[in-house]
Amino acid sequence: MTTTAIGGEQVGADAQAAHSTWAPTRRRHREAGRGPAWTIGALAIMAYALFPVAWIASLSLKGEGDIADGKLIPTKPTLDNYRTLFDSGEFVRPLINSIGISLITTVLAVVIASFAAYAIARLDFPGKSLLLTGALAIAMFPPVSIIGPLFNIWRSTGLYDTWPGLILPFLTFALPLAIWTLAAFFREIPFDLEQAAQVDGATPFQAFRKVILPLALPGVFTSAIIVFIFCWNDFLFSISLTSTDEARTVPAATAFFTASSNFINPTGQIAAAAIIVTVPIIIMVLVFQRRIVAGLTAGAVKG
Amino acid sequence: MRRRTGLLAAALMVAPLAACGGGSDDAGGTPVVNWYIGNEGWLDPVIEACNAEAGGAYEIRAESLPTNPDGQREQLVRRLAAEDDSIDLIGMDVVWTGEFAQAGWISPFEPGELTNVGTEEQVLAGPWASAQYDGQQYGAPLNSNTRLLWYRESRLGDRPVPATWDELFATAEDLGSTIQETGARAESLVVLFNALVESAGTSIVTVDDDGEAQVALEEGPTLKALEIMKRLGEAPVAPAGQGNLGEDDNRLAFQAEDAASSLMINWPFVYPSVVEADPELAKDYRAAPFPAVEPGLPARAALGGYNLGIGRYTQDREAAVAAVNCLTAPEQQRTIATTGGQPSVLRELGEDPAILESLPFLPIMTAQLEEAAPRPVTPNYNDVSLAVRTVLHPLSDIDDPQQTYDELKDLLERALDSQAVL
Amino acid sequence: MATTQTPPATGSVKAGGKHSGGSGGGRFQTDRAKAERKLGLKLAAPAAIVMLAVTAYPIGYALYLSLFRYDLRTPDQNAFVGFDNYALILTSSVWWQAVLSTTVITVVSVALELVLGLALALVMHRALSLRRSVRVAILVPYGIITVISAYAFAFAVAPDTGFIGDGDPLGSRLGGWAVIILTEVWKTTPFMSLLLLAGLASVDESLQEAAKVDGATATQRLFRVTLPNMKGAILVALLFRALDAFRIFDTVYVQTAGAFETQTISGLGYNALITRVNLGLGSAISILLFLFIILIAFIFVKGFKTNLGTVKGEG
Repeated sequence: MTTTAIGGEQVGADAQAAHSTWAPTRRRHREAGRGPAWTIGALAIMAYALFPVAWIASLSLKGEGDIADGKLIPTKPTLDNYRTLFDSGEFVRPLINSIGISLITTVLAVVIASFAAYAIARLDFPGKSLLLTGALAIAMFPPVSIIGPLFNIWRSTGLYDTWPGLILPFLTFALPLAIWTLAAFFREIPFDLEQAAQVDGATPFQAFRKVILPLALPGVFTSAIIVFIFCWNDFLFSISLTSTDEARTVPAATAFFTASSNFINPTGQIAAAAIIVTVPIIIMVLVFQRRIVAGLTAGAVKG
Repeated sequence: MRRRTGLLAAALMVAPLAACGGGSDDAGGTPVVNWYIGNEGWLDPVIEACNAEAGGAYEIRAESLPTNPDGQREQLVRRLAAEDDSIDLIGMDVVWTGEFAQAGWISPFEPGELTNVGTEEQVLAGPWASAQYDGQQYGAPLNSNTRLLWYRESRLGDRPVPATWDELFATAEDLGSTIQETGARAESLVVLFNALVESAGTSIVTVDDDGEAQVALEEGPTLKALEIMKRLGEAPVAPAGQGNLGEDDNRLAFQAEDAASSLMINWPFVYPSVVEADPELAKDYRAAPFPAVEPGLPARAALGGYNLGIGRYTQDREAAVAAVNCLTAPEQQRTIATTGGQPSVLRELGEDPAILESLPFLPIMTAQLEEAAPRPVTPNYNDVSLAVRTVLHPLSDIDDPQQTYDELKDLLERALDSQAVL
Repeated sequence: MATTQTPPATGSVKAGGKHSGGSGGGRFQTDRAKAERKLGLKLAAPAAIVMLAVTAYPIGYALYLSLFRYDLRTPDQNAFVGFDNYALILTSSVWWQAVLSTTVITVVSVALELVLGLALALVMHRALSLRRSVRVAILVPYGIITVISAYAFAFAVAPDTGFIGDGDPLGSRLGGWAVIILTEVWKTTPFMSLLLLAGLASVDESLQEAAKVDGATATQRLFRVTLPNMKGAILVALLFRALDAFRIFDTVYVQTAGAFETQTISGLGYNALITRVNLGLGSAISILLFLFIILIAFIFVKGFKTNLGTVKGEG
């Protein structure tokens, strides 16, 4: 047990090192990287990346009177927009939907994709390359091409405007992502341990569960983050396959926010909602930056 | 392991289904009437009044829809196409009657079923026409709306109030004022076009004796309407960023401290808004009838508002009809008018003193609503509307009205047969 | 399957040769191979079934629907019409406007992303003191919901809620395209730059040294050594982003809703399918979009000899 755990950490770290492109470059360019030009470049990039977020954060803190003042720093910061948002009842339910649907999809996708990725990385079976190519094709598939049929099928089967009605299409588009990421991670796992286990009489499945699965957890976790961000981001399915707060997620809900009267624009509430759904993701990105980078480029270094 | 995972997955998928099931459930034996309607300030008081009056016969519950009519329709159409039986009552924008009726999503009212808004004598002509389709009454007019010409009295001075578009353009140039009129690619553009076309003496769509809808748009009058739209899109009367201006943008621009504009065409909601935001400024607000295209021809202003429709798949039609009769009663109409700035559909409230107090411009609106021009009542109204927006937006791109006319007529003919890419 | 960065320590020796099924012999091996095949199929089946059920079947159904007049608002008029829907679309100026708009947005944003992504990758490759902050900063756009970034940019450039004052970039076709492209570039350059960074890291450093010895300038080294050696990574990054950009929907929906002729193909499809519930016509648009995507992929794979396998791992 202990050895497995230690091995797991080690392999996890190795897999990360293998994907992380920082480690080797760090040594090589220590001198070059300290120049002022590179620093200015880096600062410019940070400003570029963060400015729109800063603007919408500022809008979310402005009252109705200052929303059009064109200033980055609100003169009279107020939490009114957040209060309105939570009082209106148009946001809490979509937020619950977003969290619930994304989490369920993430769990399902990672479990199902783990099986497939393990098979791809470790086993020889017919149709393997077809599965990989197919998954890639689906990742590039235009969702608009299937919303019509899905709408028609969902409305006649009762899946319309329900959680499963969104989880299914989310899952479909999350699976390729998870399979590719996981397969790349699984390939990095050393074989000695698995083979040793098999020599000791374990079946391939036991070898998978007892030896490989613990080693694979860092990769699984990374895939889960990426899949979660993917689901969290969806707009088209949510806006097409829901019609009420029963299942509508936050991105779609923002498009339907109501203001105090029929013709008034709910800019402040949209900005507040944007901040609420963005902050957790930014924290996640900050905490797991290494893993996310490794996951996004998983397999990309080969060739 | 696989099986267990499968079961877990199934459980995870089904749990939320169970959790969010249930549509028109009973509240302790009282039939619930689910009313799908856009968010309006007057909703709560009106519903409370009716629920109190019903005394347990039914309970109305509002299901809120998005702010703008396009969003409302989109949500409803999807639910209705999915034959959702939780929709008992629908707050339909006046332009949806034809579409919803033809698709079989709402059921018509029987003669005598409606106590307040069931006859032509009770209801103003514009709202009445918008509720009829194919010889039957599908909508119960709930409230009405019409657009007026708003101006700042202090700035207009002793100039005459413009009564025609030519006079309006001249006054604007004289004042150095823009004309705040919506130019965004939205339903409001269709509202404007329809009013101009009707005021010029033709219609977008007419229905022949066999009930077939056809594109009318007589060339002469349509060209006059297009000429006005072209001028609205040109300097000096076109406001900056006109192509994205909606009703609320215009309200804000007109209400601003140093507003560049002294003239605006808009719905009456602008008045309660300014009374709340700046009562002093409100005293300078004046309203006049929607301008005429030509001196001799009556102006036919836009018609807005809600009709109530009964969902086809409702499980308790009787309760829904009872709710309609309460919601359309004079007391509720008065509440809607005084709190929402939206005039009643009832002839008897045309000069109502209580409403007059909060809407001083009521008589102008009432007169306008008798003459108002409903937008085409056709099952493909949405396509017609999208076609108009596609061709006429932005106003500044109308160079040659003749060319725009040909393009529009061609696209509308296809749209009316739901055969246009839009 | 050569890995440029050999996983250090344990087990790396065998990592390459596993798939062939080993080199042992006899009955044991055959049984094992059979068991392995069976397990492999079993493990892959759930993923394959879900993916097929929610894509292959609907796309087939869309193809079928596209041959009908099928409008939920006029149910009594539904009928088989053959290829009429396609004829209607292909003769419509609105359709070709959308094709143009989608193409402009795709080409310009992917080109900008390539240049910016490369610059970002170079900065991250070199700038050491701020590397961590840069990495976090560029992951922010990646993590933000597309719709939210679309709102952020739309609000930031709007005449009322924005910071640029009276101009209205979203009030014309060129301006609309510019804002949409800017948003797309902001949102997706990080992904592009990470892919390129991975490619950059895979370029053999000794080539650089050799070029340096030969007296090549930094620019020459970039264009003569670095870029040609990461061609594979660049092409795959371009393909991924081109296919992704071509199906753009969220940003346009939020920012212009298709006004000023900025409508895209996905937007037209959505309008027909979901707003107008005209499933026949909308399905035909869907199928045409699908064909465009296949065409783009085909051009990259055949025309530029992009080998997806090299980059996504399965060599």
